[in-house]
Amino acid sequence: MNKSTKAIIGILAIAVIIGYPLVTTYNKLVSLDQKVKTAQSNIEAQLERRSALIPNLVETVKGYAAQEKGILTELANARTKLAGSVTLMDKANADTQLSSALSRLLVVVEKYPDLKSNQNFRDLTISLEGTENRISIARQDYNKTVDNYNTSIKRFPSSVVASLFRFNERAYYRASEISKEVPKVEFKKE
Amino acid sequence: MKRRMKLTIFVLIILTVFFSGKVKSEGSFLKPTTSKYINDYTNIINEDAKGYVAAVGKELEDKTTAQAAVVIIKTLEGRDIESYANQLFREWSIGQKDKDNGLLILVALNEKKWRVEVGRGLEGAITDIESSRIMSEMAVPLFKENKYSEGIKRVYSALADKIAKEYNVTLDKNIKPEAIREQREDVNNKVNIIYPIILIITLLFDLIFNRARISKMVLGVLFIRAYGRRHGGWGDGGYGGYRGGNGSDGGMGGFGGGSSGGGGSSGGW
Repeated sequence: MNKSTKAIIGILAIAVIIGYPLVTTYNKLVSLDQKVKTAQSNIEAQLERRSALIPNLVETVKGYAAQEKGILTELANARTKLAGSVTLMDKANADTQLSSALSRLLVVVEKYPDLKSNQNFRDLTISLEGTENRISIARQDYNKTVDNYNTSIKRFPSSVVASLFRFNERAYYRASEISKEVPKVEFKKE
Repeated sequence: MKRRMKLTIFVLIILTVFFSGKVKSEGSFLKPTTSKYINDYTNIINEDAKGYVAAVGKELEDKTTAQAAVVIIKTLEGRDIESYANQLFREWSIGQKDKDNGLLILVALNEKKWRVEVGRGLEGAITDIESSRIMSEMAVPLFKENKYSEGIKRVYSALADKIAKEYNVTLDKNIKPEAIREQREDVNNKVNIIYPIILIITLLFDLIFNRARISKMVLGVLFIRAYGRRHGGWGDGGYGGYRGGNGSDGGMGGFGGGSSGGGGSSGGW
């Protein structure tokens, strides 16, 4: 075996030693990133689902409590805002607004026993409640995937690969400040 | 040599304690009982209802692969029932792994609250509205009269029928429940007792006749792995368990590795 073959084998060995972890780490980061994206689209699907329930709710409420125009408009506005927002942060804010309008509506509903006992309205509140729960689970899942991803890109040695291929830190889903003041939407049954 | 031996034995004892304790300390959640489908931690459900749920649950799983479990607990310990149910569902991994076709009926007696948590794969078969209606029409009136066994039987039957309909099968609901339950308990007990015994005997033989060579090797491997992980080895550590499946063994107590996205409904009585 002459010198140049030895050199080639040596270079190949080094390439494998460096290349292999590089590739596996890169792939790991890609799949973590993908998980964040999946979790994000899951939140968005649930937000959409909730916003799709609003027109029907507005119609039902109108039939019994048309004078509550303020809240109805607010609901409609929040929904439009949600539909128009692109980033997850905007959506989170619009959703907070929607939540606050909904919780105010449910306080007002107490004044209208006919509406409260309306079957359609009750079904809608169950659906809203279910969606609310799905959103909160989806949000937790999203934050967990973001946490995993962010930890990976900051931790040595995967941080080297992350900066090499420009994996950027991702934002957590945080409800904006207002939502802390908004009481949790609770639907009373019976 | 003697000192090393002593050290090895010492470490082995510590490890044994550590590993046997690990299962219990993994989470603050309850373990599924041996009857799998009906987990009553309050002793409020009678044998007849337990047998019925176990039988229907078994038939349902055999015919559709869907898993429906009932859990009756005393208290939520201050947690809200929605997140309790979701965490329990994921911890136990109810439903099949890629189908997420699990269902959990959780009843908390002190708080007088119920929740039906539906896995993603069954959200079409049982909508939030339907589960809410089944619970508030069939269970709530009976729960109010403290007839928990009867209430559970009825809602379990109704929800199982919904799932069966989705899979285009019908349930006979007349299997002898006793046979199933005894069989399950048998299997579980054998596994639980025999494994540690074999382990201890092997370790003893190793220590006495083999100068603990096997134990040392196992320890070496364990520590090297632990060391590698802690220092962020290049392998693919780090991510795992987020979807609630506890790895490839498919969840606790014979459930299938399914998850839930928070579907379902809840209420009180």
